[in-house]
Amino acid sequence: MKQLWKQLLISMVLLGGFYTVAMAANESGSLSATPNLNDKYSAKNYPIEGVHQKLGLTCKECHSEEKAEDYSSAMKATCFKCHENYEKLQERTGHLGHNNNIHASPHFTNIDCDLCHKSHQPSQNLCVQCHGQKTMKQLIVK
Amino acid sequence: MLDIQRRKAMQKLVLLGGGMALFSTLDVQAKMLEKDVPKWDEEYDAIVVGSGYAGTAAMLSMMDKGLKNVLMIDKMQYMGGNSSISGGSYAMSRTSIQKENGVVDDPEMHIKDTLKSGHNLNNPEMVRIMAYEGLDAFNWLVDNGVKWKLFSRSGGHSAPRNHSVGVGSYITMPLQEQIIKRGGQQRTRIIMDELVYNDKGIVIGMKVREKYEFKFDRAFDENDNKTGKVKYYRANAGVVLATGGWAADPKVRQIFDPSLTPNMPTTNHYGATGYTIQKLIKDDVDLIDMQYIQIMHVTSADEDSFGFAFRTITSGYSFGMMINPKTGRRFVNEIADRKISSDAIFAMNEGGKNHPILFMDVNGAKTVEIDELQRGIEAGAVYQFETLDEMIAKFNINKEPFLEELKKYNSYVKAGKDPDFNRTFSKYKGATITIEQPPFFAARPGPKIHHCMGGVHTTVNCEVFNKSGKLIEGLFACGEVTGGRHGYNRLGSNSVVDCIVFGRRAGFAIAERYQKMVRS
Repeated sequence: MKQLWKQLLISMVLLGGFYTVAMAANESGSLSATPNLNDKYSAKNYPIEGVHQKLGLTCKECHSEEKAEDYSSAMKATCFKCHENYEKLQERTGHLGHNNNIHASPHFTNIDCDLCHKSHQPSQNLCVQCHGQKTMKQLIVK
Repeated sequence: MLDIQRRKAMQKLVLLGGGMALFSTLDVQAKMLEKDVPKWDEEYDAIVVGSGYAGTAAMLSMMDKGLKNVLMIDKMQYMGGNSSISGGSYAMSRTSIQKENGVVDDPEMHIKDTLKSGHNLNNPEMVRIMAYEGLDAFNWLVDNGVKWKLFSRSGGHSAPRNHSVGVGSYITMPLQEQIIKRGGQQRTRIIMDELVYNDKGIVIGMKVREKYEFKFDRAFDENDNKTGKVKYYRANAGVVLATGGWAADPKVRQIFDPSLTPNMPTTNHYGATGYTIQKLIKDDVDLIDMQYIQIMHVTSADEDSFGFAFRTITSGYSFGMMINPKTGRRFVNEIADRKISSDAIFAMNEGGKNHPILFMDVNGAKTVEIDELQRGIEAGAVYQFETLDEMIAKFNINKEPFLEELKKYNSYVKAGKDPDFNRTFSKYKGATITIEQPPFFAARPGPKIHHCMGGVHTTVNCEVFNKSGKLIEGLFACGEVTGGRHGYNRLGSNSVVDCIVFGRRAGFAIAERYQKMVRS
């Protein structure tokens, strides 16, 4: 009988252990825990293209978080180190006209650049999700 | 020997099975309790979830009452949700703008219109509060930097009482600027996963995920979005829910109204999912009127989402005529409310193959701001024709009956009476408008899923009921996430009133709760 209770206790502890580890893995972020963390966040897995690549930028030059697993793409402050501010952006795309100036949206001010501009994924046009005029659809997002 | 070993193995298996069964039952426990919180990462006096009209009004109002350590969160990468892209129109009687336009109106008329559209299913006290208190809220917005730009009449309203700022962000942004100026905090990319309750069932905080990455894909179920880092925020006086509606959630909306199929278009932004409302159901929160989800007909079938043609179409319903191109005839009172009109359009548009034609002449078009008109034209949703024949040819309109119908319509406008559909004709600068002078401007209305009338059951002070009719202390709700204000169908421009009036009430209520806690 005593053996039985001992076995029950052991199996419950083991199960409890597995359960909490599974929970922790789920909650640590979009990428589940892997044994060798360094490999996951390598430049190989997260390449960059275009001007940013030509400038030889490394991860730390854009991402300000300490640990790679905490990196977020919401980094307006870093982008503005080179790309100045929204007023300048509005001017640069001002020639598109009032209805197509994506940097002068009446709906959103100061939104994070990564809503459209992505370095490790294809960029996308946020405005065109609702505004379907041809002139908007034709815009190329770098 | 083998037999004993097998028996022992079987025993182990049975115990494991029993243990597993025990652990799986933990999933069934819906509410998150204080004792399950490993540690509080941050502490606030109050937290507002959602940053649209209602959330922003609640936040600024609690700050008006002296609360300082307060936070407003939004799961999206931008603030304001649906409010930011909406028309920003506020229905109110007795404003100075109404008086300037020579309009005779009063709150009782506003109440009557609201209850009529709501089929008397609205909470009458809440309607009364909106119609009367709404003027004070209107002026409060002006005091906080909101500028009214346009004035018009919306379907179902018996008088012109719609004041618009141009676009909804012109209400939320000035309020948010005030919040920042006065030291309030507002953050994006933070999603509320759970409310946290103490052992007395009082809401004392929440479990969130920071750096949440919303996925812009209407077919993607938000419950499958596992991005973000878990944190726990304490909210000493409680939480105000202002998370909006679920009209953009193809799964959840169809649970409550089976006719809303997944491929039906919506005016809503991608973030209007049923994520929060589903959580509230699990937490035993009482919901009312969930089956009433509005379809709006001021949008064009030739454009996605809310689009640019809606101001021209709104004017069209006031100063123009709408026909079924196949018959050439009118089929509804053009200034009827959204429910009556949308139903009538669905009944004739053959699933999108036979869109109605709404049109005005140049005098009608002059009631639309010129930039709005041109925007609609540029988007391909507003058409300009130099002659009626051009319009008839373009849309393949049944010519003979159409010309007859137009003649009749103009005679009705001149007589001031519509024996066919009982329409009341709107006046612009003191006179009604016929359809006679070219050029003509047309649009093709296409109804889209728009607003959830139902939602969380609250008191007039935005305190939340549970399913047993008891109040959940520390929990408040305002805006589209709540139910009871609009009943069966909401009148256009009543939503902003609802959000600001009850947003303020929620802010005042939680501030009062905080003062009581501090005093005791």
